[in-house]
Amino acid sequence: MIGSAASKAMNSEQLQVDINISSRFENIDLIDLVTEALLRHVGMDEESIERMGLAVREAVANGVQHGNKEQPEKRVAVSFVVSTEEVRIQIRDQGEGFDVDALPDPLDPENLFKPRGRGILLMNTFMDEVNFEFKGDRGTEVTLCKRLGATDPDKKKEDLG
Amino acid sequence: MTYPARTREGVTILEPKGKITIGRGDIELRDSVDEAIEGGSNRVLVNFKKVTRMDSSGMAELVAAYKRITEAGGQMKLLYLPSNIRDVLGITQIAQVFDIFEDEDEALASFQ
Repeated sequence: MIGSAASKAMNSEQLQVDINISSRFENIDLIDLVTEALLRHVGMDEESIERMGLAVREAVANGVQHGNKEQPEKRVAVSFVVSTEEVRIQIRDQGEGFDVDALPDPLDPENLFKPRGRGILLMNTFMDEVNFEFKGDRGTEVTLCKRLGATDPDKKKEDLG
Repeated sequence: MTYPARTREGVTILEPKGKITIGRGDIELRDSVDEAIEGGSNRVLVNFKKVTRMDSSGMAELVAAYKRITEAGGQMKLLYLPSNIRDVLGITQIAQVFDIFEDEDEALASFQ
């Protein structure tokens, strides 16, 4: 059976998928499809697939729009690494980087009608780890990590009352 | 392109389908709301029943549309939010801006 062969293989080694897209918005839908298929393949539940899919989409959209400024000759590279412990996704653009701290806090009522800041909020909410690394001429790399079997952050809050 | 729209009791009901995401769905939302306003309707109900996903760009357009309509003296409300959309509008606190309904008649009756 393919399913059990894949899970056996995963016990001993990582599953890695790399995709490289040109900076066009319609290509983000392709990343969506791959994210969804990959997470379903490793047995994630539908709600987690939906939430992680949106986190990845936000990071890729940032790379296409704000990093690469929609210049189609610039690329966004997405690398998925799935092990038994975690799903780790790296999104790398070829842009000049930006100041994460300069983004408005979208939860401040004053900023409710401002367009920016929500993508990073969604990434932080849906992933266990979000890290931005600015590599100068080599662009920006965002790492999103979800530990498998980790407690849902919303649930944690409920448990704490 | 704009969303299919119908009018009931003086309210424009927009019926988007699929993704309201960067590059396409967000622009369709903006254009659909602009078309309603230009057509003289500033009472808008957006039916989310067939919307599968909304990203931060879609959300930015949603709050921008709300602002344009209210500044024009109108009202914008939401109908039938799927659970994943309700989830993200809750996290971003956009849900608190809108009146959200589960019943079209009830939604229409709430417009003044």
